[in-house]
Amino acid sequence: MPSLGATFGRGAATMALWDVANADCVFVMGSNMAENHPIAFRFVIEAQRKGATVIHADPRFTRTSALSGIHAPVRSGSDIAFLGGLIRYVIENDLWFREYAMNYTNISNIIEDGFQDTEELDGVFSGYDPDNGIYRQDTWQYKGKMVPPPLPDHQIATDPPELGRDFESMTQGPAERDPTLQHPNCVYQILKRHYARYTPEMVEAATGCPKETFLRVAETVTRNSGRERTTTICYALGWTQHTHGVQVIRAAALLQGLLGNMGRPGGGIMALRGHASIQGSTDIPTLFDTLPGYLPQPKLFRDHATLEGYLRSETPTTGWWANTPKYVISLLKAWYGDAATAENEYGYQHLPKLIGDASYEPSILNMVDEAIKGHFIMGQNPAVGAGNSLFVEEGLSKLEWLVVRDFAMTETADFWNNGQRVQRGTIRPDQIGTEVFFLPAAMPGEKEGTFTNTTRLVQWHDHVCDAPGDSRSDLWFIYHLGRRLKAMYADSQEPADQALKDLTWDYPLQGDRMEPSAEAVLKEINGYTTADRKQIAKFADLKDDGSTASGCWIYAGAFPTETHNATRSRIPDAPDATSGHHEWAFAWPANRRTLYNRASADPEGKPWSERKKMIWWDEEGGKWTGLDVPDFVANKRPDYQPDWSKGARGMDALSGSDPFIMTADGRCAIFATSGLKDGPLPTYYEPVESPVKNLFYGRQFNPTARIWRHEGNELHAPQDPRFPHVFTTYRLTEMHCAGISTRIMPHTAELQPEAFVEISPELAEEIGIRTLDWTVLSTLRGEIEVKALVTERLRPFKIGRKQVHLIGMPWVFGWKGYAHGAAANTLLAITGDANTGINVTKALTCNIRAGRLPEALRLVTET
Amino acid sequence: MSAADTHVSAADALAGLHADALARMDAALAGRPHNDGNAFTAATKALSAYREALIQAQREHPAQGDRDRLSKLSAVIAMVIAGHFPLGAVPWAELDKARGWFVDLQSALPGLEV
Repeated sequence: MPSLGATFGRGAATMALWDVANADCVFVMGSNMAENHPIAFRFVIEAQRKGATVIHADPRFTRTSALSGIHAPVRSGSDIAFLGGLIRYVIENDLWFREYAMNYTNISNIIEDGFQDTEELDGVFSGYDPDNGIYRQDTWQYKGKMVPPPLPDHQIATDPPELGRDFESMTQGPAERDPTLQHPNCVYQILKRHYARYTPEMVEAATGCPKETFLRVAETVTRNSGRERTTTICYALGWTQHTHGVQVIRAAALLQGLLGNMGRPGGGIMALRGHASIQGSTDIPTLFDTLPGYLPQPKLFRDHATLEGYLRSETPTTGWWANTPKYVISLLKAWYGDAATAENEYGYQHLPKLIGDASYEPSILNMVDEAIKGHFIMGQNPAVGAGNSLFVEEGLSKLEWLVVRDFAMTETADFWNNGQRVQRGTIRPDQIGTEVFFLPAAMPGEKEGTFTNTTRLVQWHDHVCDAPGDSRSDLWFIYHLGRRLKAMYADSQEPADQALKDLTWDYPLQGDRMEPSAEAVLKEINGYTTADRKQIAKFADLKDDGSTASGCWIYAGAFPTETHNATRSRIPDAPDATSGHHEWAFAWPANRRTLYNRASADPEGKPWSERKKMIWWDEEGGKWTGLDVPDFVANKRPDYQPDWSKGARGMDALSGSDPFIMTADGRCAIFATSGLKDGPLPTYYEPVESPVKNLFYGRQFNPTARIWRHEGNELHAPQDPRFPHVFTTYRLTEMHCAGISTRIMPHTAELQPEAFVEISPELAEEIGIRTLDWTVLSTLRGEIEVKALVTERLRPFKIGRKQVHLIGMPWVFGWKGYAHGAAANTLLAITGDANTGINVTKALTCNIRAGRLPEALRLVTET
Repeated sequence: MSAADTHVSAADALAGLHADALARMDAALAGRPHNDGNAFTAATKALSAYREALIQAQREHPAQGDRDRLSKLSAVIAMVIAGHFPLGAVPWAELDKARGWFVDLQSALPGLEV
């Protein structure tokens, strides 16, 4: 979540789920929360019972809308117009929480003279390089400063590059500010100009949401923000999966910063993750470009040839990230143990140096181009779940080998035998050379370990019973694969194999199946002292001299002593308690439940209000105290000021009233000086495929979007008359992600037995179909047939003078299991968000017609 | 056909694939400063085909330095992929270097003098 990271300092939900119940207004957008996060939604209902207003802004009227006080219909992909309208409403009506924002955000900071806004450049910012489709960020900086972003990539894109890693200017004094907010290049003035055109009329024209409804949302959110009241914003993949997804979330983050809704009870941004341990999979990443704990993966085209160069160029001089060397060296010690010494840079040279984008979408293209030979798939079913399903199958067919581990046979593991391309006659099984290994996996109750949920809560779960037959846990598989590889390379003298030889791989094994101890893994993740292998209690104990090891610094405290697994704890607070259930599992970092909670007190350290108190300064005790673990240096006085005369570094460079300790200046970034690839302020662009013109700027779509043109992955031009409708995809309560785990279960399958497409009565009349009639959906990527569900839950949007129809389809179906039907993702193109590369699934274009596909192209389902 | 003849024809085939891959790389480089995805795709495919042939040739006629040659070829392919899917600006200067490595790779192959 680079948006939350760039704005506040950490890429994670800022609050605990149960704290949503303390909100006075819950604004859900980009999520059908009641359907897809039903457990979390109970806290929304609890807030509602206590008097909160619930707002749902969404293209469809869903189960969430039905339980909300206000439903604002918003065309898929037009979210930034809506959120930009809210920002303008707040600024123009002077409804921002002035004392909060002036002290805790960068709203008064002065930006470099050379900065030019999208207002001046018709939809792009200064620094744009059209040849490469990237920005250089020199002109986005605070005047006279280079501000390292708090994201895993701490450098700033500049020309020449060395400018962007010189952060000494941050140690020389505070950034220039204008408390009068009159300077033309202060953030407030830039913001005001930038959003001036996001009027309620423009919001209606671009989103299709009636102006009156928009204004009702704006009035409700602002009325429920301030000293006495707070608003929570909840979002999910409906915001993420766009080419501008990060900027949608940024707009919400910016809004919450202006309204003072961060770090306070019932305030924050509830990032609802896609499924059970997605938060964990970014903390200890399956991402290609980060190391555990959001440390940067070394890169070839950076000053990363040595550990010294890497640490020098990736360590911000100010703020908490100045501790980066402690976390990097402790990580290397955890991975390479005794083989990691100061003399050999703690094994740093074992780390691969990135040279390009190795995320999943380019990898699919590289499979098609035969550059990739093998592929492991665990807990994923890309033949159904990834965008452009036919193209994915083509990539799989070019591999030499494919390993799939799952609970049941998936469409992906069986693509060579009965995939869509085989069914359609595009290819025969004997023409596919991929050797497929399908290995049965254990289910959650059949293994021990942790889930990290959507609010950073690391929760242990026990092994209940053994998995049947040859089914094994993922931990078992990875451990024994590693063990065998280490044995194979034990005698190798090749330098490239030394990393494998040096890897610590000494987890105790349990039982006949030789199951590795998940507790031992968690202990290593937590960290320990290397001399006597004593667990460390907190990340502040980590050192950069090799005396400590930690597999993921932010998890320090999860297993703080030899016998205390904090993630096992299940002691709730009393029902009427106001604290944060601190004995219920462990939340990173440091068991804090609300991030940035120093902001719950005013600059002097007093709660903004009695009703919304959380953390405050205890003058007598000389420390911060309250209802949560302070997200601040415990004994730093609120009136502390850095001594700039000697050059202030690390946390010494942040004052006692700078609550956002992970950012280089301790402030919430209303204006993101660096870290985001597509601009310092969220800007409205149409989706790459759209039936309408961008009404805001000449630039149609995000100029930095990741677009990969490839035969088989063709895109629709804007306003292509062959594909006049907006297409969006979503999930269902009864079906889990790509569906296989629920489609094979009769009791869930019977609740959603067959694929369907939702269309409005108006569109149904246009094309002459009724509910349960067959339809054919088409894009340049593929065609599918599916039965129609005609429903008023979908309504046409009036965009400018044009009527735009929305077509919605769950993406959970495939051709295996008891519940089946067309894979919606067959229609998608592989395009990515500028920052994350995540695939676009929420707003594309398509066509629809009544009828069926020719018999040879119809899906053959299996039960 | 004798073993020597087979070797010669395999070497010729390898040379042909090398020439094709080099031409595709040049086409991608010629697009500078524009990143022509289709040109990079063609280069990746051609380099991958060359890699397959090289692996096959090495299996049939193992020689000292095989692994090193394959590592160098992998580095060339990785660089072309980095050009196609860059993390920032396209690394044109590094791609030029990779082209040079690729030229050297073929000329240093043992057995081509047969």
